[in-house]
Amino acid sequence: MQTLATVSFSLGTIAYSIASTLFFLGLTRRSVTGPPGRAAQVLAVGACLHALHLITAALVSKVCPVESIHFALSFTALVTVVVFLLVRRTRAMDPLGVVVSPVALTFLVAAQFVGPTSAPPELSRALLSLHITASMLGFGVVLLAGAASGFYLFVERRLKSKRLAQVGRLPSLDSLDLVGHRLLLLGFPLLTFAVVTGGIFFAQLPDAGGASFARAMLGYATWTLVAGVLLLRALLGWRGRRSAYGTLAGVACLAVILMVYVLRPLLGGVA
Amino acid sequence: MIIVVGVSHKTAPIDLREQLALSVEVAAELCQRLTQNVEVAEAFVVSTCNRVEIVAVPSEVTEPLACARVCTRLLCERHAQLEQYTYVQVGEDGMRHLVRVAASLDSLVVGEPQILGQLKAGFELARSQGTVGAILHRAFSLAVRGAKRVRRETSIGTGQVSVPSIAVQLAGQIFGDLRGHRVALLGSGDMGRAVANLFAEQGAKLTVLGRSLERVAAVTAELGGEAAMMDQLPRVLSEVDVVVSSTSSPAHVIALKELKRSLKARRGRNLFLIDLAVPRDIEPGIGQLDGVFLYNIDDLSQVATESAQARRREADRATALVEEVVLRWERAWQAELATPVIKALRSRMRHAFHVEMDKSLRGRLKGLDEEQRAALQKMIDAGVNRLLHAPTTQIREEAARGGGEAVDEVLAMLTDLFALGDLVSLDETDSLLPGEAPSGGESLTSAPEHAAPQETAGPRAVVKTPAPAQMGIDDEPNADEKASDSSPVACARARFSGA
Repeated sequence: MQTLATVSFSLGTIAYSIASTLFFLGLTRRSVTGPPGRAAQVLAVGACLHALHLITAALVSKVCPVESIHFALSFTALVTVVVFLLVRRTRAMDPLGVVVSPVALTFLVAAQFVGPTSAPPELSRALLSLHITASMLGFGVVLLAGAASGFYLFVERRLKSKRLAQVGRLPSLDSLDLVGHRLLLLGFPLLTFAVVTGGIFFAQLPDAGGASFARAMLGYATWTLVAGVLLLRALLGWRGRRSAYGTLAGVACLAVILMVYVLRPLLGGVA
Repeated sequence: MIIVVGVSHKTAPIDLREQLALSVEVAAELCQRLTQNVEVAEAFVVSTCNRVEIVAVPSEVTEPLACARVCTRLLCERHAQLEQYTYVQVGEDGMRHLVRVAASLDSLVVGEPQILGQLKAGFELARSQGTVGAILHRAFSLAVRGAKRVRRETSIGTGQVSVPSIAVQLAGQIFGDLRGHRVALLGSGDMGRAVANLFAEQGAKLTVLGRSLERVAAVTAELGGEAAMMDQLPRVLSEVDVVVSSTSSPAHVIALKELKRSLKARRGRNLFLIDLAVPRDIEPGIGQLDGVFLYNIDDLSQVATESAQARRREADRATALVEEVVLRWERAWQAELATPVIKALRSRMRHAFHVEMDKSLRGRLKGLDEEQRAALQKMIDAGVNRLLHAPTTQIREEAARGGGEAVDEVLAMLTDLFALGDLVSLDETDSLLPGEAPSGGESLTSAPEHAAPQETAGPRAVVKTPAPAQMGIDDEPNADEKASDSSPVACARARFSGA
C-alpha cells in the first residue's frame, strides 16, 4: 500500500507536470500539443493518480483525509482539478488549465512537506471533518473562480488596449465572467458552512491563539467578499471587471488562510 | 505527370479575370472538351474569383507540352488576349502549384480557407463528368492532405485580414457565440452594411437606425432585422451588445454623456462599439468607460495589417511543408516505375514453374487429385512470392528514395536477363502508390469512375523528358522529347515520370 501511495504520487506529479506544459504550449503555440483536449486528458489522468495517492496515503497513515491539513491541502487541489475538468466540458475553458495544473502540482507536492497535526480534543471530530471538507471544497471552487477572474482581467485589458496577440486563444469575456460567477455561486454555500463551523470551533477553544484569530477573521473577510460580489452583481449589476477584482480579493484571503494553516506547525500554533 | 494551366490574380488584371470566371455548366463542358482531345487523359477545372486553372494529366502517347497547348487553347478560347497572362506548370512544378493553391499559399489573401472547398468543388464536378482518373485522384488527395497539414501545423489561417471579419472576431472574443446577441447598425455606409451582414450571418439580431425611414427600410430589406429611427438610440444603446456606426454625420452620433445614461440600464453588460466613419461617429473618450470596447476604422485596419504580416511569416513554414508533399509525390511515382518490371518478372517466374508443373502433372504426378493439384499450384505461387519479395521490396524502396539511374540499370538488367520485354504493359493502373491509401474522412471520392488512359496502338513514346520547369506556352517540343526508345523502363518513365 505504501508503494502504491508513493508510485501514484510520483506518477501524479509527472502527469500534472506534463499537463501544465501542454496547457502552456497550447496557449502559446498552436501545433505542438497534438489533438485538442490532450492536455485535459493528461490532467484527468493526473487527477485519478492524485485521488489514488490520497486514498492510499490516508489508509497507510490511518488518518482521515479531512481531518488533517496535510491531506486537506492535497484534497483542495484535487477539487480544483475535478471542477475544472467538469467546467471545460461545457465551456471552452482550456486556457484556465495554465493556472489549474501548476496549482494542483504545487499543492500535491507542498502537502508532502506539511506534517500531520492533531486536532484539540475539545473539537468534535465529525464536525471538524465536515468543516475541513466544506472549506477545501469551497476553496477549490473559489480558486478556480479566481483563475477565471484573472483571465477575465487579462483579456479585458488586452482588448481595451487593442493588443490582440494571444487573445484569440483565450475564452471570451462573457464566458469567463459567467464561469466565475457560477463557481462563486457553487462555492458560497460551502464557504458559509465552513465559516459557521469555524466560528463554532473558535468559540470552543478556550485559549485560541493569534493564528486562530487571524484565520477566523480572514475566513469572515473571504466570506464577506464573496457574498459582496454576488450581492452587488444581483442588485447593481456589478459584473465583469468589478466582479473579477472582488473574486481575486477573496482568493487572496483564502490563500493567506491556507498559508497560516501550512505554517502553523512551524509557528507552534494549534487548531 | 501533373500539368497546370491557368490565369490568376498574380498574372491577370481583375477586369480580364472577371470575364473568365466559369459557371458550373461551362466548367463541366470544358472538362469534357479537354478529355475529348487525345493529348489530355484526365482534367479538372478550378474557377474562383481570383483564378481559373486547368489541372490535367497528359496521355501517354503525347508529350506533356502538347497537353499544355491544348489546355491553353481551350482556356483562352473565348478571350484571346488572356493567352499572354497564362502560366503553365509541368511535372513537379505542377504538383507544387496544386499543393500551394490548396494550402492557400497562392491566394490573394494567404491563408484564406475558401480555396480548398472551391478546389474540391471543381474536382467533384470533373469526377461527376468522368474526366478524373487514377492519377489525378491520387494527386488531388495528396494535395488536400498537404493543405490540411499546412493549416494544422502552421498558423497561416489564424487572425482575420478584412475589417468586417476582424470586427466579428473581436465581438466573438467579447461575447463568445454571437447567436442571439443584438447588433445595431447606425447609418447605411457600405462598410457598415458589410460588417452588419457578417454579424447577421453569425446569427445576431440586427436593428438598423437612421434618420430617413426610406433608407432604413432599404437597408433592412437587404440585411433583414428591424428598423428604428435615430431618436430611439438611447433605448437601443441600453439593449444591444454591438453597435456598428457608419454614418456621414459631421458630429458625434454617440456622445459620452448620452452613453453613460444608457450604461446604467445595461447593468454591467459589455458593449462593443465599432466606429467605421470618418469623421468619427463615436466620441473617443467612450472607450475608457468600464465594460465598453471602442474600435475605430484605424484600429481595425491595424489589426488586419498585423494579421496579414503574421500570415506571411507562417507562409515560409508552410512552404517547407509543401515541399515535403511534393517530394513524397515524386518519390512515390519513382517507385511506380518499377511496378511493370516487377510484375513481368513475377509473371515470367510463375509461368516457368507452371510449365514444369504441368509436365509433371501429366507425367509422374498424374495421380494427384484436384485438391492436391491446387495445393501444388498454391505452393509454387507462394514460393515465387517468397523468392522475389526481398529483391522487389529493395528495388521499390531504392526507387522511392530517389535511386533514379541505379534503379533503372537494375530494371534494365532484369528485363534483359529474364526477357521481360514482351510482358511489360503500359496499362499498370491497378497499383497504388506506396502508403497512398486515402485516410478515413479525407477521401474525397470513392474509386475513380474514369479508368486510366487507354493504351493506344502505335509506337511507345518518350525516352526522356527535361527536368520540370515553368515552360512558356509557345515552346515547341524539342527533338529530345520525341520518342524512339521502347524499353519497358523508358515506357514506364514516360508514363509516370515528371522528373
